[in-house]
Amino acid sequence: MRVRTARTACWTICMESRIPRQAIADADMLLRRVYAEGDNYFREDGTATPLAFRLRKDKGESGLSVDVERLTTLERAKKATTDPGKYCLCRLATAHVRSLALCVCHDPHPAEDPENGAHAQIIPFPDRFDGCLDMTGSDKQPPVMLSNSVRDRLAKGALKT
Amino acid sequence: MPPSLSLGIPTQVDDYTSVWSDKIKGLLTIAFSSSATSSVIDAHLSYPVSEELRYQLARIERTRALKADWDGMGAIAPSQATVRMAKRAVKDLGYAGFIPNHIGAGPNGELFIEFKAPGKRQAQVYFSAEDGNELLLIEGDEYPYEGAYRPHRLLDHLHGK
Repeated sequence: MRVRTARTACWTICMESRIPRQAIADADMLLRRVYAEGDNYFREDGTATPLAFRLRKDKGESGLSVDVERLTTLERAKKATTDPGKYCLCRLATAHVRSLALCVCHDPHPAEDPENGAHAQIIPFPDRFDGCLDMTGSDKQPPVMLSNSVRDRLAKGALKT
Repeated sequence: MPPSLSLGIPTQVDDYTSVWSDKIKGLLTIAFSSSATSSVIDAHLSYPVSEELRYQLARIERTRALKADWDGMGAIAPSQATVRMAKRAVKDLGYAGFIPNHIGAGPNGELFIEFKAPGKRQAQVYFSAEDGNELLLIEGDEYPYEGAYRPHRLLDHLHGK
């Protein structure tokens, strides 16, 4: 009986801490965790290069992982790695991302980071996953993809924090 | 390995060759055959590499030390062929008077080389022996070319043509 009660309590807490999928507002700020050791992803002046917004082909990524700042903390967003001191956060405005005809889709609790309810993806319209509420870019023909020029524009709108 | 090689100083005429550098190749062929065939030091002395170019070549060379997962997020290390290709191109461009302002390794094993010309002209090249080389030309907020790496296009752009 005691075990059953404990399980019920845990289930309740776990479910309560899960954030349901929601629409991301233009005013929302997005945080992208970027490796900051060495001088690969950032220039000497501290600005992000487009490399910080490159999809990882071996992981089969179709969108760029970010956290919605409103749903997390800077510490949480940075600490999702084993060595947070080596990473920094790039802050991006959702409005800037959408101005490039890209979607911002809330994707809470992904398999690779199940405790992260703030997780979202910057993703081209054709690659959106089921349940994504953003239709940005649906009117573009040909569709806008994460090409080098688009990633360069993303990088120019990113602010290292 | 001779120290000159580790710094990226060419030791053979072939190091200078590329589809666009026939003129340079011709000059070097004459010079190598007449005075500097026996020693890499002689070759170095005959064709001094500027400090700036030497620094950037050393930056490329340094990426050879990157191991798999060097960014803790699954990044692929650049292949030897990619490093070799990038060094050759940067040498060619350096002899033409264009020194990169940033060099970095990317998450998919690519090498990112960025050039800034006077005015608002910039160029970004992604070298990858495995996936092909890509070029992005930038002029202010515009992207006049985005596609496969074309050395002629890059040089014309940097020359302001």
